[in-house]
Amino acid sequence: MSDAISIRVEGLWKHYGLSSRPGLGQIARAVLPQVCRGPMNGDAEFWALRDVSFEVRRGETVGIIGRNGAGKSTLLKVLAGVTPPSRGRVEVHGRIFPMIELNAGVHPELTGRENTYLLGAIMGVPGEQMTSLLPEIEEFVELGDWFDRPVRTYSSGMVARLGFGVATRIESDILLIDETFAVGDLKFQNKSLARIKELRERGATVILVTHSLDMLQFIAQRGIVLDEGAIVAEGSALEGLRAYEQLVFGKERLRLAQRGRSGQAAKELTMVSTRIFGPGEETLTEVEAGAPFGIEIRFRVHRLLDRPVFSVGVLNATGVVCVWNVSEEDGLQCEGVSGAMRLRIWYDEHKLSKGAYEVNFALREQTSYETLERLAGIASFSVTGSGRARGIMALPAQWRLCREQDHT
Amino acid sequence: MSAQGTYIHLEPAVEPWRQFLALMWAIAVRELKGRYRRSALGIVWAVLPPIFYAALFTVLQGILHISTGDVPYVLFAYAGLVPWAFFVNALNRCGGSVGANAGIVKKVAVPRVVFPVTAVVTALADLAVSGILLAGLLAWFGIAPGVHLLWLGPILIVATLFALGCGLIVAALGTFLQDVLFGLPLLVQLWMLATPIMYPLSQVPPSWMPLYILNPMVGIIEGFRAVLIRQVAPDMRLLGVSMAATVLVWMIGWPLFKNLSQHFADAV
Repeated sequence: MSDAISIRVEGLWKHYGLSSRPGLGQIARAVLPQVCRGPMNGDAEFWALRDVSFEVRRGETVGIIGRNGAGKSTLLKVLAGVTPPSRGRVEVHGRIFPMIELNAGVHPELTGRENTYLLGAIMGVPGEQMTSLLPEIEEFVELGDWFDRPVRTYSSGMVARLGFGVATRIESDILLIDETFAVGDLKFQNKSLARIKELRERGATVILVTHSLDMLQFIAQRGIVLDEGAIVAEGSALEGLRAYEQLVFGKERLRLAQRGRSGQAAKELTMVSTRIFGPGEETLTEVEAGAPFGIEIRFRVHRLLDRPVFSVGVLNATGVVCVWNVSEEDGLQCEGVSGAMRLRIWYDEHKLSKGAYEVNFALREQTSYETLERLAGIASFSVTGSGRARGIMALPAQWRLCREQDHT
Repeated sequence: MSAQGTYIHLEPAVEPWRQFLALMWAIAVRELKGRYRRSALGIVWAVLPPIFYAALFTVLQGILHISTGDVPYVLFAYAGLVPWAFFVNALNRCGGSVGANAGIVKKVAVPRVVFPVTAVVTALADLAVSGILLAGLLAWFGIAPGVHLLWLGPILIVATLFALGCGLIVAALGTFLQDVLFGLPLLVQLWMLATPIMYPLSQVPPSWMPLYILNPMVGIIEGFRAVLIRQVAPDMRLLGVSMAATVLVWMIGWPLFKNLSQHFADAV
């Protein structure tokens, strides 16, 4: 039933033909496309979106994920009707509410209240309707006295709260949301999530662009993975997530491989190779959740090091140092090191949660305690596992549920 | 293969005109409130340019000995400067209107024409304030309103439409080529000298006349003076040129704006 279709995109291509600095020729082309035909010049051939097709049914929540520059924001802009598609067909049914960055048209000199009316007018809500919505909005945004102060005095989180508060109170059929949950405190984030779920239950279609995989898993039913302007994977939110992780991973591995080939040379030492290995000495790219693994670093020291201390750290995809071991503290004493060396660190078990990780390495002199070398990203690996547990670490837990009166 | 993709937005109609007016009102209010909230003189800035120029011209007139017959020079100059200032104000506001609303342009699909239209409407608001001052000046010099004041409406409509037509061109091109906005003040200065504001039309050499009256602002300025000061009907020949020019700028400006405005989001 075509009535249930909310968004239909067929063979969408988009390039920014009229860039920020177009020549007169390009303006002429835009004005008279049928007269001035001809090849676009130079970088105009960069396609922000390539042959994108998908359908979204009414009431669905779809997450769009991809790395920076993958075309996510461009796609939202095209859906919002802000920028025209270069080729293909985009069909949108119903009232759209674009919440791309949420602060469209907010004037810094006006108060929160005045800006609420302004945002309403931009979204096509008449003043009297805004007046009836105002108490609800005022309560939702939790700005208190700040609501009547100029927006220029707000923190960025407060501006976003204002935008979000207005946006979600206005009835619409399609919500386009772009990276908006990064702002605001946890309490507001949860409130916003609850509101999105509420809207969805009322039948609104939600398109969400996010970097937060947690967010995607939490609210989206379907995931679309974009890379270099094209859809590389599509499926359930979980499938989308896996595809995204693999994508990020593949690129990361490629980057590291390229770097490895050139050899990471530093003042004190030259890296030869780094690998992740398992109990059977086999090289791994993926480590099973909880399973033992080791990191082997081969390098050449340029001069005689009196009493070197090595550090190895494991960082997750967001750059959090999950573990950082120091050789000396773990009981490795070494003296008079020079020439080609092979350093191994072994973890009998680990509590890293699923995801992508990177290895950092540092070399210090114990006597002076001066850091001689610090090398980031010498290796990368992923931790795999089934299940849906999340967090920065995995803690196996025992659960028990019992009746209150049975409890002794 | 078509060079342009298709974007179709199907939405139950919800009074587009009302929405347009509400949006225009909101942007105009935002513009006026936002602009003057942190200035000491506030709205006075809107009426200052014609006063400033009238004072300047009055001083210059003493040096250059410009004769305006039995009409006091201050009144003569100010009556010409008020509609001129409106025109310049409208053009300047149009030129910056898309960039000033970049936040909206980039994110929400509102009809793009709302920005130059709002720019001209706010310029009209400034004109109204200047007009009150002009009325006071007319009363001061003992000029009572006559029946020809009714002409003011049609002249204002022509002036507004001409300003908006030019404004569409400035807004469309200026958004992509900043050069247009940088060059605008120079062009406007030149244009002012080619318009009978500082001097009466009668001082223009007859041999220049055929070319001179092609300036569409001549009809508008002279029309203003005719109905306000001299209390006669405007020169229809001059006003006809203005009307023809209005049609012409719209024939160029509207398609230009319509086509280029699709790409505004990529440019601002």
